[in-house]
Amino acid sequence: MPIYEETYRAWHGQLAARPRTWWIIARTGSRLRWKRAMILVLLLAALPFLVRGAQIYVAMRLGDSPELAEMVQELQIDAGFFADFLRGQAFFLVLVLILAGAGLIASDRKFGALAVYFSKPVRFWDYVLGKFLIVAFYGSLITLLPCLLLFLMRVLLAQDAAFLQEYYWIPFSIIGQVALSLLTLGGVILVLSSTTGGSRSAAILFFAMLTVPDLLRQILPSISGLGLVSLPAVLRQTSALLFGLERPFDFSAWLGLGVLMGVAGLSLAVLKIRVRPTEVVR
Amino acid sequence: MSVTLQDFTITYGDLTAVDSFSTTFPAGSTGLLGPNGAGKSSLIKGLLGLVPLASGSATVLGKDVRTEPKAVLQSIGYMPEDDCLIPGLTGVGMVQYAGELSGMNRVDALQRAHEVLFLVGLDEARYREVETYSAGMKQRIKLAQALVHDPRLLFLDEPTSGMDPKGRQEMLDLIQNISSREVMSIVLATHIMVDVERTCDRVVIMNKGRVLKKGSMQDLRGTYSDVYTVRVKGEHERFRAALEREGCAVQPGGKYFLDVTVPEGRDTDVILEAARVSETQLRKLVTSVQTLEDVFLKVIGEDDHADL
Repeated sequence: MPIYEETYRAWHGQLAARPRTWWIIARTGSRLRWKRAMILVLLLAALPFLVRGAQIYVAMRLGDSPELAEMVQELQIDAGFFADFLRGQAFFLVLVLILAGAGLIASDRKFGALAVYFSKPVRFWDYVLGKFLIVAFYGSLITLLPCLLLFLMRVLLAQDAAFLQEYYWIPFSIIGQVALSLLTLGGVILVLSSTTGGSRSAAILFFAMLTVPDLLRQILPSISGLGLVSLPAVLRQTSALLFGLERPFDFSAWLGLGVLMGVAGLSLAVLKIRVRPTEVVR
Repeated sequence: MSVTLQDFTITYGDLTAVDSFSTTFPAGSTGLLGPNGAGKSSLIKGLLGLVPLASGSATVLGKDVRTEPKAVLQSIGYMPEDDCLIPGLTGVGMVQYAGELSGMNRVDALQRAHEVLFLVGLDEARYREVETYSAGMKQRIKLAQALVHDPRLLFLDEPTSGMDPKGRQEMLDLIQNISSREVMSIVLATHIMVDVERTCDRVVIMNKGRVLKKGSMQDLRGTYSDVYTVRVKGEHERFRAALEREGCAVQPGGKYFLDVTVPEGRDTDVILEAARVSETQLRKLVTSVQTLEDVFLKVIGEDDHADL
């Protein structure tokens, strides 16, 4: 007499009327990207944070010591300090975006996963937002989070509120600069992931797209406005705008902002074409 | 009705994949039968919103596929023809993920994933990454992800494709088991007639994006009850010629047998008359038992012939 019948059994639960599928995609995707290489890069990217944290501590707590007075005087903890930190993290950001984003859509296309997603109540926007949040999460871990922590540390270690009163706007600048970096670089890596055959080619192209125009800019400094085709240069220019610093290049920072918005918009347009559940072969 | 289609048309550029398709799939199991390129997969993808409609309308479980796509997708399960895996996930992880995307909470989705994987025979392999699965296992995981949220309607696109005979048998048993519970309707698209015969109550035969025949399995076979199997003594050339003069279509049905299709409105009298005229002794005359394959080949043949 069988004690268990292997047969179909109905499920009597209740489905959510509006499942937040973008969140499910982001959560699961982020978990899948948590691998050895990613952890290693995150740990390496934490080193500059530790150094900057130590600098703040020394400046705030040991600044009165005569041996350190000279060094502390040279160390200005102002808007430029936080902008420099973000610029220093750019290399790690590129690595993290490659590790997190290069295979995100490429592998879905390779394994036919798009048919699974779009046969569930997942719209194009849910899918793209979910995938973007994966790269944004890892990108923020090495830029937004440590930079805000450094600011918080500077505020908490201060004897008075003078710094906060003078630089209360810095967190907004940090958020703005990180958002610009992630929207453009994250958008580009997702586009490359959706258009190239695999994660390796997406990674190589991404690296080339960031370095080649920047090299051209450096080789041909006489050509005015060439920096506009280099995303790192444009991001430096917008960083200077947001942190109230001297502009490093001769093109308008607002124009640079327009270029970044254009890149983000173009990325979205390409994704709209490339992210489809069915490939039509003619 | 599970599905109602009205002038449902899907085009890919100049190619019309589904051409003004109007029919209904009632509750129960319906086989969508047609040769490769008939438009079966496009029809299903159109119902799911995976390809845009050129014109026409459709409702799935009473919901309009254009205006309520999310509600449609939540109430159906879809097993695609091609491989579809979520790379990096284990079997149980992928099915749980599919459940969550459909609107289940995490705990329910996980519990249900284990149940469904047991049902499809992947309980031993549930903790393996899905990329390592064999072709047969991939078919099973595709079915599992389609079933996890207990849909009211299940679309199966070539569910036995790439499976070995044993796996195929098990898959068909499973589909039969699901359809026999009468809690879920099934639309099975395939070009393999045996699969439809084994699992479906009703059949829609389509070719070049159009409906050619539809009805219950019994009705469809009955439509072609004008075919008789005849055995004669000795040579049958003169008998055959006589039959053809009377307007019958004659096909050899083996070494000693002939399959004779009598003209519309005629009965066995035409065969008896041909035997008398050709002085042939009949040893056997029975109504031919039509398989779905006979019906299918005849309908498709007529359609292809009409297009010439």
